[in-house]
Amino acid sequence: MKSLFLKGSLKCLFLFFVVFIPASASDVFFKNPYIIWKDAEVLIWTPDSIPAVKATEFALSLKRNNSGIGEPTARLAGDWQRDSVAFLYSAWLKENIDEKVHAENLRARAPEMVKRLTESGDIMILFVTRKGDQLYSVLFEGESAEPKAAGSIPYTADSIAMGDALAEMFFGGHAERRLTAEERKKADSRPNAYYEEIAKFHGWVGVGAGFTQAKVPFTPDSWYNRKLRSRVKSYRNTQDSLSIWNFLDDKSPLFSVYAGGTWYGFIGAELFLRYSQHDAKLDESDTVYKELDHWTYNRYEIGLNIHLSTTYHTTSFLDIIPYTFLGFNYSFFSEDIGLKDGVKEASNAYNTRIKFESFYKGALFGVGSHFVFYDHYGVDLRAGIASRGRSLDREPSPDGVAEPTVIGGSTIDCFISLGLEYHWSLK
Amino acid sequence: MESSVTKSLQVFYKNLSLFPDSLYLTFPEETQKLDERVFLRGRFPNQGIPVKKADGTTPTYLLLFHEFTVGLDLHRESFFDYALINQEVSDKKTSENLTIIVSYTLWDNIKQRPLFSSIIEQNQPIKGEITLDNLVNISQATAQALLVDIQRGVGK
Repeated sequence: MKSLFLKGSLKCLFLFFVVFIPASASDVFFKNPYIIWKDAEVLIWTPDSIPAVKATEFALSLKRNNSGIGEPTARLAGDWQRDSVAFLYSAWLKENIDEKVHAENLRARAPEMVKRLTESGDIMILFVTRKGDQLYSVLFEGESAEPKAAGSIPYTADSIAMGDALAEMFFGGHAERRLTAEERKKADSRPNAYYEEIAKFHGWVGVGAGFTQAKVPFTPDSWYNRKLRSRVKSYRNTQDSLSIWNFLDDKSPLFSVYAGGTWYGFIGAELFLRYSQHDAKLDESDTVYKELDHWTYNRYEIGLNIHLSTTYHTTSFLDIIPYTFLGFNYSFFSEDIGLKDGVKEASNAYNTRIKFESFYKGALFGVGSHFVFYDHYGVDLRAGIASRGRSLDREPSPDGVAEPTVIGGSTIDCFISLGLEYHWSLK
Repeated sequence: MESSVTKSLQVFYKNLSLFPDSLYLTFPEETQKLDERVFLRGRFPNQGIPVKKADGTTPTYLLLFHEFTVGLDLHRESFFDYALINQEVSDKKTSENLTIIVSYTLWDNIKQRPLFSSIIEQNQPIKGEITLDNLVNISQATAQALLVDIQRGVGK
């Protein structure tokens, strides 16, 4: 038992060695995101009398280490080393840097020093100092008095090796082009992420699937019973003809394609095409239907919505855009009817069957929300009420009272739909 | 009051020496964040310059008092918590407590960096009139609370 335990602990020791040996070569204490500039200008700043790296050699080390860095230049920060405020800070930095330190603990506090660091533009400042057998280094970049990265490497007198190790530690990865004076001026005046401008135009295209029915939820059944119970006798007779739901089954899956956009994240418009299929509600007791194979109507609706929306940036990858819409549509009911095989001649009732108007005009309104993931991929949920009916823009004729009611003059249904969308923005 | 605080502290810290306020006022003023909402404003020694005593020796630690507020029924949140400092207090005719609020920093004078900052609040119920003894008592109690608080901070 004892020997087994010993074996186990030896194994552990061995593992520890394997893990720890490479880590001691170069040790990064912290590394916050920073930009590596192409054609970088690096200022080597040290409080030591003999710098551990030479400027010209370091520029070559940078080139060797990162082929994308262009033509870097490096120089010793002589003016920094002579400046008394910078010297005090460098002495302090040398005293305070160790493995456990965080970036905020190494922040420069003296106002003159803060100014010096923040006004260095895109020049990268590399502070190096020797403490015993370790070479400590701190990197400053950008408009911050807080260092971006710090680390240590074992010190050797070989300045080229030191330069290579530093270049590998801090200057690997993608190098960005340096901005011109004009570009930098523009970048400075750009609002930050918390004050981001809303896109001038935000567009989407989508396909949706849903369901439609005549009964609006939370309304009494008595409003619909008459229509929904109604059956068509001998191809045309119903109790009432005002709503198409007297003739057709109202419940149907609903499919749609649509494209739209909003301006300034607030007002917008959307074009849509919707399709659903409705069977005729036959009175099965009527023997005249023996000849009939199928009788359905395909409903196509095309229309335009006005959108009012607002945008919430919830997390980095999800924007929620609730909206309300109001629009008009044209409805077309296209008949699909067929007799059974072997029926030579259709009945008289068949030939004089009900005919709907060639098109209906209607309006729709509702609410919904886009859920946009990673700026482009959207899921959309919407619900609303749509109507279609008689054209009201005709002049009433003198004998209007005697005119027959328009069939389907008031056909109302509600719908719910889930869509998949692609979004894009123009700034 | 000042002497009673220092006397209480001297019992615990044998070689405590005092620096004058004029030295403190030469330091640059800065803000320190203690919490998401709690900030204290004070003066901290310059980076790179250790504070030296008159005899030329450098003390290891400095205890920096930023504010020492004496009042009636005060709450430290009303002074230092940024979410609560704008609250209005209703007029009061009677007070229940004598309060001292101290904000301080324990400073590493060798490395010139803050070790620990804190704000403490000490209350003493008022019985009748406030006398000089009351003030001395609450000062001593504050010093004791300070000692406890520093020990807790060092333990962190």
